[in-house]
Amino acid sequence: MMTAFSVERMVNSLFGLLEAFNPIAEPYRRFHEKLPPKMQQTVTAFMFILPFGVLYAIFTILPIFQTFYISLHKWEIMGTNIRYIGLKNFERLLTRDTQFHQAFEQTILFVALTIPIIFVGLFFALMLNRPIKGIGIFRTIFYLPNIIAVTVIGLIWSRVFASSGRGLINAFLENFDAGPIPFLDQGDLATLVVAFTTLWWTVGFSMLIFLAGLQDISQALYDAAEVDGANRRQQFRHITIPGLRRPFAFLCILQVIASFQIFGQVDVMTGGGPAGNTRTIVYNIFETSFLYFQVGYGTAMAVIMFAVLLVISLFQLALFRDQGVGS
Amino acid sequence: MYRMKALLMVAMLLLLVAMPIAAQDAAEVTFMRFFGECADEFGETTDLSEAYGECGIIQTLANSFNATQDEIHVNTVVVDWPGVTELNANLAAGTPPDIMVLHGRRIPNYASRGLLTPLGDVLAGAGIDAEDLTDSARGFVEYNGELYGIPLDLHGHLWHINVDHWAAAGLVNEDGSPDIPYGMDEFMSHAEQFKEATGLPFLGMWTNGLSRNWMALVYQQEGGTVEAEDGMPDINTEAGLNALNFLIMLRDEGHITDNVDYAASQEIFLNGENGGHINGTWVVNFYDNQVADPEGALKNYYVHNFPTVYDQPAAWAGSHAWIIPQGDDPDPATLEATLTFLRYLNDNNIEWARTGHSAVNKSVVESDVYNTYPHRQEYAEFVPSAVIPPRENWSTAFESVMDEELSAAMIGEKSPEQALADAQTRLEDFALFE
Repeated sequence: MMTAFSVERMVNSLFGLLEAFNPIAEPYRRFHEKLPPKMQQTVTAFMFILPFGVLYAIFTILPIFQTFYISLHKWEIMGTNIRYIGLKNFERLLTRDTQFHQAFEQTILFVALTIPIIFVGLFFALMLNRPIKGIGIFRTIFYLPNIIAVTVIGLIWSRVFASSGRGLINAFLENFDAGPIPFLDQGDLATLVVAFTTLWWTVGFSMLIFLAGLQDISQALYDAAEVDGANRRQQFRHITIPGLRRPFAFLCILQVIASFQIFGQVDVMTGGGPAGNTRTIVYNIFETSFLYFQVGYGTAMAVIMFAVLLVISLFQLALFRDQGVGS
Repeated sequence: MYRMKALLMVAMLLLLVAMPIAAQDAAEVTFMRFFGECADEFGETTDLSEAYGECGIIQTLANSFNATQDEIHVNTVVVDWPGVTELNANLAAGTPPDIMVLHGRRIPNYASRGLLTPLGDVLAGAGIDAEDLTDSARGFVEYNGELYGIPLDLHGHLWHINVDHWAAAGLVNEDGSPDIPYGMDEFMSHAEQFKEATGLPFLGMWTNGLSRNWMALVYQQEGGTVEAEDGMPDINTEAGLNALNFLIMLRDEGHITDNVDYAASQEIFLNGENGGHINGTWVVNFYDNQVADPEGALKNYYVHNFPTVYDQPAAWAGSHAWIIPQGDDPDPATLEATLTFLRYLNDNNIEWARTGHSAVNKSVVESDVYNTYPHRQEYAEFVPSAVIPPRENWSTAFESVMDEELSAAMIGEKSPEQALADAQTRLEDFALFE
């Protein structure tokens, strides 16, 4: 039976929790006064970050370790039938599970297809980094898709690309006795449609970061280059590109991680189909854990993905460090 | 400090007053269901005769229960079909609904884990006669000889027909009813004649979810099955290959509309762009209402059992069932309130049957009212030909794996043989891992 949620009780509990510290407040004050002044500052600083540290440990660090722990078990989503099975989940995953292998390949393909988002974002940022009247409106319009929920984005574009005459594009083609094109019912096409949707949805973020990077580059550099006779292309190559290394490195890492974690678009637009052609790792994890109950096995997939992302991110960081980014 | 606390308290109290709170003395029952959201249209409806369609009827049943008594208040939580994700998440969080609608084939998965309340001993006390359930429907809610739910319906795939197109192709009897083919030769002959006369495909189905139609075609063949004697999946068989090749042949020869999802396949049929359409019992009421629409393309609607193209009739079937996911040791007061609502739902089973689904109570099935529902007699043979998916844990993955592999064969990514072999491997792996 569902009990009514009591806000009053929650507020009282919160104050009760704070009052629970009263008995230790005085002893702590005495302890603090006895410390050398420099130490007092350090301890005070640590005390300020302690609440965050505790919450971070509980809600971020602990789940990471819990993920590794669960991956070594047969563990069902409802907390039933929990049994330690060692590395059997990983053995099944790496040696027999063709669906996971296909999902892995598909995810790599998505990563490759969505990397251009960074360059499209750069292009838009360059276009919108001009002193034109009303430029703010354009910047807002270009960024707007990024604030829409992925479910809405997925629904909009699945209507646009629907395979029959119900789809906007196919309905248009029908006027010319062409089509219908099975956008979401042919493997390669569906992959491209999901990648395009992702690009449309997220390009605003790349644009925003590059825009901030562009505005960080001192105008004095361009003025000096102009005096030295550098043309626009030379300015772009020798001032703009080096000036954007940091945002570029930042976006590269974020984009790869985000592309690896692609889920919402797939869930709403294709459900992993047709024939599993758009099933990504995260969608596979969702299916395995929530629909087939095998949360232990799904978690093992998450561990593999974590390892892959860690290696790629470290590699990218090392690469950019060699190029002087972050130094 | 105290001033701030007082301010916060006042704010919170105002918030609480503003929140809709059910009457304190009414027991609350959380009712989780799919079938869509239709509160805009039926949110206030309490007269069952005004409701139609799955969503409308189920919403009105909950409304009318709340309106007819004040001891129990049912809170409806609408979830996405098939509701499994939400149920699992709530079970994991320790907040399962008090009562929920679930597909009957999923019951073994939950019952075997002790997550469902056994109902055998409590139904009689609640005034629910389990002996009144039809055998076919009862089979869906039993697990290891115990009842773990009350079926709401028996549903399955039917053949929805645009009679005007059939008449244009000369495929109607003297009384104007469709001349239903029986067996492969007659079926193909009809399909050819239809295409020649109308230029339209004979049949429609959503081609990204073929597992149910494929399964029916397997069971139509002598000895055809998807489950081996030891309970393991048996997919890669001659009957399975025949069924898949038949579907591909229909597509290749232009007798079915290709590359369509559920919504598109329905729209194509309702727009009069094919001669027939494989869809469930759940749309009979909806399609019948479409005929009344003066602007609709469907003017003359008939519905028949799933086409028989092999040796015997067989149609995929499923069941919606009420389950009580309160575990083995439920709170007695909660269970009592839930059972009162369950009895109300069961007593009104005839209302649900208006959707087109088959009723599950013998008393309803034998009633005059039930048998006069529109089109009911046209698919009277559905129940005897109903084939239910295997009662094994691997059937959880059956539809999704089969849909995917059959789709791969349909779009030419795999040969039919490879698709079935892959399906067999994947389902075996799933079954062994369980």
